[in-house]
Order: sequence, then structure tokens, then C-alpha cells
Amino acid sequence: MAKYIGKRVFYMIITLFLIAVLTFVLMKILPGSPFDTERFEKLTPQQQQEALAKYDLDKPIYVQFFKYITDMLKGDFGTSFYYTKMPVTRVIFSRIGPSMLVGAQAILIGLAIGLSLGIIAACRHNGFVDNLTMIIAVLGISVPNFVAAALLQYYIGLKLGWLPVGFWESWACSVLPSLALCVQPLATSARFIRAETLDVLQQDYIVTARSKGMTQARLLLKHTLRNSIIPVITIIGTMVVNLLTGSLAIESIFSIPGIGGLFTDSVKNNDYNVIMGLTILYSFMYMLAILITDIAYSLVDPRIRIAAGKGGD
Amino acid sequence: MMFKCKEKFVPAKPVEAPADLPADLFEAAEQNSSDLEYIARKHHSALYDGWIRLRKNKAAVICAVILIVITLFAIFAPILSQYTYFDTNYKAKLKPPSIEHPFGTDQFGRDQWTRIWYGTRISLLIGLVAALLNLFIGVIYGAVSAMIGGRVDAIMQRIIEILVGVPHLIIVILFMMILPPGVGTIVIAMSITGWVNMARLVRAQILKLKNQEFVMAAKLLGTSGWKMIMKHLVPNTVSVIVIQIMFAIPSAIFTEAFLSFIGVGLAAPKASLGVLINDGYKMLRAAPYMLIYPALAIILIMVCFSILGDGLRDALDPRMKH
Repeated sequence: MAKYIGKRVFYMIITLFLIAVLTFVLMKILPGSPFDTERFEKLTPQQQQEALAKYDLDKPIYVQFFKYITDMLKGDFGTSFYYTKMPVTRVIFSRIGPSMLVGAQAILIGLAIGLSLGIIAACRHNGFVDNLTMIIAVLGISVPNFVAAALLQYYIGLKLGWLPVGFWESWACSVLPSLALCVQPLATSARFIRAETLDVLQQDYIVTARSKGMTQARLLLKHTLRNSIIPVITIIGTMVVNLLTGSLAIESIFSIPGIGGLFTDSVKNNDYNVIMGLTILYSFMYMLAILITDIAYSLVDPRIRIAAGKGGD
Repeated sequence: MMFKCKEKFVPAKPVEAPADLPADLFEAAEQNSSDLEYIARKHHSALYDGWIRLRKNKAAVICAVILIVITLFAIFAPILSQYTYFDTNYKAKLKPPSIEHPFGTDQFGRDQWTRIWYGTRISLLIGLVAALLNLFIGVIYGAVSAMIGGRVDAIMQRIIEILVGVPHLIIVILFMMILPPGVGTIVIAMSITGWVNMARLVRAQILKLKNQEFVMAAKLLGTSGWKMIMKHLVPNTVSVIVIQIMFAIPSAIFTEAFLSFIGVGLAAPKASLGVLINDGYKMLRAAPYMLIYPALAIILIMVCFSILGDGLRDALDPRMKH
């Protein structure tokens, strides 16, 4: 196990390095510069030189790259071009709080509703709740989250006026974005737990327990759920990945000062350093989520044991 | 293997002829070895088998029909419409849905009916082309990796292991920033890491097949490498590929819509569902119908692909669970 994790971490580092190289190259060949072209051209050549030197933009590419990588290893991603004089790390860290709040709420609401719906659906197989759950699951997985967010904003925020939208002042502002983000975890977990529970309910020991006269509630709590709920940890990684990408659109829709909105804003503002820092951060979280999922898989189901995690080997 | 048993059946122990039937009335049936291999029923390909199973899944069939209808509308509605997707008419701007403009008009007076069907056309096109490109790269990569094996396979798999860690959407956004906006660009950007899943699936499937008895038997019987690929490996991998495509198309449609929504996708006056949703979102207070109709269109397409994809998976690969 330790060897496996070590190997995976090694790959993570290579991937991160490649992403760092890629983002660096992409940013260098990007059209447009962090400086306002019109105003930049009005400067005297010497001032231009100073402005470039301030951000090391006058040095040869490989020097810039080497400096970028070594600084990055020290945890320094340079300064933001847009939020003047703010180090990228500070810009990013000041934005993590709202993202974490919304993300955690979304996962908790999604899991709570999704798991309950899925379990009820499995117990009443082919009943009303089951059909409803399946409809919700299909909708939740297929409706793009930014569409759901835009519709929620219109119907609940604007038309009914129940919850505030478009600013970030109190906890109430985080409710709608959390709801929009929870759709996917809800659908995924409902579908997953339903299939797992249906599977467990068909096992011989359930039939035995039932024939011994065990009550439905006891059967469910003592025998079924214990076995069907553990595998849920294997999908949490997928959920986190979905949240990471989902936050990109949803945070800008609801004007949340989080890292997802920061990324989309920086893309629009050509704020290279912030984009590079966020790309590394996102990639790191993404890879961490996948790694944890793979480890969880092998812990939950000893039959899979790493072999599957190797990538189809 | 099927026997044509009734006439040709030769019992292991000769049965004693009844007394009233003299033995010389009987004669031993001729045994023809080629008849033993006779297959009474017509041969069905794996795909046809899957189709038979799929037909029984009503929801999937309905979704397939809806998708076909949507595709037809996407192709013909913009042609048959009296408006174009780019012509502005400032006398008729922000008109709510009416008989003249079934889905209303936008802030430039462009007919939303035409724009939505045109956008659907672009979205479907992007989904299809991106899925096919992923299929092309993924199948070749996966097949080469599995067929050659050894060190080549090891290296190719290490490359894949590095690529799976790359967050798809983020990298696509970065590429969209440097490439000029357009349908081709979006497809290319999405294909940079999009083929990895397909390659992994195809490789896993071929590796699985390579170790199965019928392939070993074919090898033993001296089947040539090319015939082996075309006759045994490809037909048994098609179902995996078809299922993967059915999930790749909606995923590409989603990615395109997402890119256009955050403003790095297609540029005006071109329209895709993502562009239309973005436009509608900006005009949400003044003209909610501008958001609702494209949103419904993309939801309908995604739901149909999802149900059809699940149906196809059940039909083509019955051994696979949910």
C-alpha cells in the first residue's frame, strides 16, 4: 500500500510539473499583455523597461521559467497583475473561505438528501419514491450546473425573492449557490446508494434475517445500511472534482468572492500569475481527490486491491 | 454449435429393433461432418443483438426518437425560417414569444427560434465531432498500446497516468485563451485530454479479449494478425466504444456550453446553446424567455443522451452493472 501511494504521489508530482510547464508556455504565447496596451505605449522607453523589469518580463524565457519554478517550490507564485501588488498566494487564500463554505454545504445537503432518497427508493423498489428518485438522479446528472444555477437565481432569487442573489454579505447569500452546487452530489449519491442497497437486499443473509422475523427497521439499520453505506466514500472524490469545476461558473453567477469566480475573472483580465497559481491549485486538489478515491476503493473492497487503481491493468 | 439432430441422431448404443420391425428395414444414417456445424438460426452481430435488447427499453427508444427529431429541427429549422441567426432588426427587439417569433427575439431583434435551432445545430455538431475525434485518437492509442504490449505499452500507460491527473476543464479553458475562438478550436481544445478515457477502455477491453479462449483458439487455428483484429477484437470492442461515445457527446456539449457561458467559447453573432444561455442570463431581468428556452433545449438534449446512454449500456453490455 505504501509503495502504491508512493508511486501515485510520484506521478502526481510529474503531472503537476508538466502542468506548470504548460501553463507557463501558454501564458507566454498568449495574445495580450498584463499591461494596458494604450497606456503602456505612452510611457517612455525607460519607464517601459522599468515596468517590465519589475515583473521580470525583460529576462530571457528560460530564466523566467526557472525563477517561476523555484519560486513556486517556495510557495511564491508572484504578484497579481490585476489586484496590484497583492501576492498571488494572498489573493487566492483570501478567496478560499467562501468557496469552502459553499462547497461543504453543497456536499452535506447533497449527501443528506441523496442518501435518504436513495435508501427509501431501494426499500420501496419500483414504488413512487423510487421513480421520483430516478427522475431526480437523471435530471441532476444531466442538467448542467450553471443552467440550474441561472434558473434557481431567476425563479427563487428574482421572481419569488426568497433569497438574496448577486452579492455576498450574510449566510443567506450562500444558500442558493449551495443548492445549485448540491444537485450533482445529490443525484450521484442517490443513484449510487440505491444500487448498492438493492444489491445488499438480495443477499442471502438478508433473506435469512427476514425469515427469522426481524423487523424491517432493524434489518435496514443493522444489516443493510452497514454494508451499503461504506462504499459511498468511493464517490466522494468524484463529487469533489465536480464541485471544483462546478464552482467556476456558479461562483461567477452568484458573485461569490471564491476561487472559482477568481479563476473566471482572471481569465477575462489576463491575470497570468493568478491563473497559473489557480491552475496548479486546482490540479493539485483534483489529483488529490482522485488519489483518495482510488485508495478508498481498495480499502472498501479488498477484491479490487490496487490492481484496478493502476489504470485498467 | 448446433446439431441438426432429428434425422441424423445416432444413439450411442444400438437399440434392439422390436420383433415386428425387422432390422433390415433400418439403415444407418450417413453422418456428414459439415452438417454437425450447421447453424440453424441466422447469425446476429453483437450490435444487432444489442438493438433487439434496446428496443425493449421504452424510455431509451423515446429518447432516441426525441434526439432524432431535435437533430432534424436543428438541420432544417434555420433553413426554413424566414429569419437568419445573425440578422438584427431593431424595430423588433426583445419581443416576447408570439406566433411570428415562437421563442421571442433578443436585444438586437434576432429571431430566437432560428437562433436556438442554429445553436442546437452547432452544439450537436461540436459534441459529435469532439466525440469522433476522441474515438479516433483513443481507439488507436488504446489498441496500439494493448496489441504491442511490453515496453511500448508501459511507456504509453505512464503517459496516460500523467494525463489523467490533468483537470480537463481547466486545461481546455487555458487553451481557449490562446486559440482564436471558433468551432474547430473548441473541438481541438477538448480533444487534448478528452481521448484518455476512450484509450483506457479500449486497451482494457482488448487486453481482456486477448486472454480469452476464443482468441487463443483462433490463434491456434492460425488466424492471421489482421483477421484477428477485424474479426475477433474489433467486433467485441465496438460495444464499449459505442457506449463511451454516447457519454462523450453530452459531455462535449456540456463543455462547449460551459466555455461559451464563461466567455471563452464561441463569439457573437455565432450561436451555440452555451452562447444563447449566456446571452439569456445577461438579459434575465428584462427577457427571462431568452434564458428559459435555450436552457430547456440543453436540458432536453442532455437528459435524452443520458437515458439513451444508460439504455445502450444495458443493451450492449448486459454483464456490466448499473
